[in-house]
Amino acid sequence: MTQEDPPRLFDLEGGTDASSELGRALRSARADVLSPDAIARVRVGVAAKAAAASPIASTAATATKGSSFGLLAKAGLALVVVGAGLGIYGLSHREIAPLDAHKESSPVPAFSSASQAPAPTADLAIPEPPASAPPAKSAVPRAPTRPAPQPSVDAVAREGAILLSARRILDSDPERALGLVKKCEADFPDSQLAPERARIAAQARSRLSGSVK
Amino acid sequence: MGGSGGHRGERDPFQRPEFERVFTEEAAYVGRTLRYLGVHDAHVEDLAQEVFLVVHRRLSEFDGGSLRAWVRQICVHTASNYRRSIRRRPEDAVAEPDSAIPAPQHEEAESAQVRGRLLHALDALPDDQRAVFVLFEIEGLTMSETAVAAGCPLQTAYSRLYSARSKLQDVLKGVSS
Repeated sequence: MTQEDPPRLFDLEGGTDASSELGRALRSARADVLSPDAIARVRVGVAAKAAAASPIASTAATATKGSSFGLLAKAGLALVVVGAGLGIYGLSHREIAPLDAHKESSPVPAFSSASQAPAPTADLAIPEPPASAPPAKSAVPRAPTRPAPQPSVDAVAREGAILLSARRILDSDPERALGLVKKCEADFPDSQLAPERARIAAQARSRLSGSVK
Repeated sequence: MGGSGGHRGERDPFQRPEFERVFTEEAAYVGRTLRYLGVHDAHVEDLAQEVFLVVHRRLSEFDGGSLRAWVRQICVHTASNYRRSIRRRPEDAVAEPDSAIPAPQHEEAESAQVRGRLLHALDALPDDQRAVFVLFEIEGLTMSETAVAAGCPLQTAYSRLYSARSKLQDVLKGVSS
């Protein structure tokens, strides 16, 4: 079938007022909707949900040791374990109405498998997160050096997002990537993502030393 | 893009180079497509995650051809399910501001307003017409590609396109008059 496509409104000039308006709108509709930060949040969310859906997620803490992206799995696990209803992106940018409706009816395309279920949709309604370091029976003076063995979801998600950014610019701007890692070291000193930080820092230094030579 | 099996048990999808590539190349496209297919600005990130989870699960089944077309089909289905659920429970819909996409600064404010009006007008269309209109007029597909992505015969796609255009022009006339 070689039927020719009709001209696009985008290309039409001098139409009626309405079609001109439409043409103008269409011309401007090609701008990106997701900012780089939003894309980074999507990335963290995908990794977190995939980790949660994984049947071997429970062993991830040890199994991800050698993974260059272990930080995502770890961040994902922390997110899911502590509360699936906590929206990763909601943490950092806005509070809006819950998305229960589309969650309930499974937004997965009809052809997708039913295995979506274990991955809870990050809810845009932000329930009050548990305090980042709950008092945890302070009457008992135990755990001397690690008062909060599980960092808050908020912290893990934020650090995960920063490390993702660092990784993204590793090739193009290793110096800045190293700076981001150092910022994480300063802001999240007891983070469980420290091994990932070290890995990214090593890669950044290696690239920097390579570029000096 | 067969790769190493089903990957269902894989914890980190970004360890798969092919998934990493799809995400890097298509993330912005997915966001834009979902938005114009009727996903509210506030929900685009959430739905984009859903799209890429499906991509992750099904990537090993992708049998070649146009990757973007495949991703686009996932977007169309995802947005369609979303819109259906919003219609069932309208109380969950988020109020659409005049300009749903935030306007950065002065010169762009006007085009952001125009985009906002377009989005508002698109909301008046049935899903099937909206999908065809967006795919052809915004995404720049050919009509054949549009028909495939929308899952309808070519002539039906034409019919939906003309209906959509006509309705949009009416809506925009109403707005401007």
